[in-house]
Amino acid sequence: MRLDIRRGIQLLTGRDPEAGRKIADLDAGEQAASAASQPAAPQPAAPPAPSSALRPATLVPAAADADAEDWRDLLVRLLSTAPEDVAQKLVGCLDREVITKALERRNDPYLKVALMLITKK
Amino acid sequence: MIIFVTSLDGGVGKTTLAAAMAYHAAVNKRQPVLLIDADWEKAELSQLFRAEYAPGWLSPFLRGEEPAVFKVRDGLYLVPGYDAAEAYQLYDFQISELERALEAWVEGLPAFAASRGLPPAAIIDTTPTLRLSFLTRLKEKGVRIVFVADARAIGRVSDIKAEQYASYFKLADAVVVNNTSFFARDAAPYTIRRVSTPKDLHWEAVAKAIIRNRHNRRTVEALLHKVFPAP
Repeated sequence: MRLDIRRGIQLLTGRDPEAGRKIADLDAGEQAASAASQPAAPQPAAPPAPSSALRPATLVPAAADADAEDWRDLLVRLLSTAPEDVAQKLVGCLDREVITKALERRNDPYLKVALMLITKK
Repeated sequence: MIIFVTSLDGGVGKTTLAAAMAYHAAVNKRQPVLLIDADWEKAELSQLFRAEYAPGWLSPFLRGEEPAVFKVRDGLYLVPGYDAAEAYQLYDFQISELERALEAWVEGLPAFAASRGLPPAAIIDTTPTLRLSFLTRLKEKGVRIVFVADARAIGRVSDIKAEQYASYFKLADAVVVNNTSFFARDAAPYTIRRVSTPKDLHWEAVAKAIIRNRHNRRTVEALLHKVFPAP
């Protein structure tokens, strides 16, 4: 895996009118957690949960706008945001190769393992 | 204004100092600041703040993703570093690549902050032993370097280590000696006295425990005055 420095710089310096609204508030959750833990025994810092499900919904990558034309992104977004029964029906209609292709778009270790499981014979 | 908090050895209190500086600047002095957890070995700052897992400072370079920014308090924001720490373990990055990405943050931060309504001033917590050549490049770009050492470690260094320390000291805008005893506290310009660890290992409790000590408060104030003067 290589880092794409040019793409990173473009993203950092690019204008994203929505970006200001994507700042998640750590305050409310933390104050509640802090208040709850005041009388309690010493607690270690909560470990990070390596799950995309826990990512704030508002933190949509700005670069997604640029990639939005790609059918694989649109398909994955459709399947992940559609009601479960609709998504299940759609997945049932799609060829497995199509879904595999869509998943191959992302260079992510978790997806790689999922792909290995899907394509396992 | 960008401040790098760095060190030669790990576990000397970089993250704690970064949190205390940010707390004092943002909460007590009303100087807004963006904290960036660029310790690609451990991402402890993100854990200290109990930030949830989200794309961090490396995500623009790793996946072309917008990094998450958490608002901690009014005037205090955090960009996490979990994905960098994860990627550091998973992939065979060259150090120069990570350095280049961090350098790109230095270059792109004014535009990034301006377009997102974030403070232009940043305190960046780093991994230990950043290369001198890299730090020199950053200095040339106007970055202020706060070098942290632990009194217990520098008391018993070899000649070679002493030379390494001397090189980093020379480059730093401020050297902070952590964990000094009551009697040794004035041995260096900026010293942080040992304080008892708070029961709750949460950034605010840790920062308050440091600042509550009068000597430490003076140190942090003097340090901020030196590297992060009020506009």
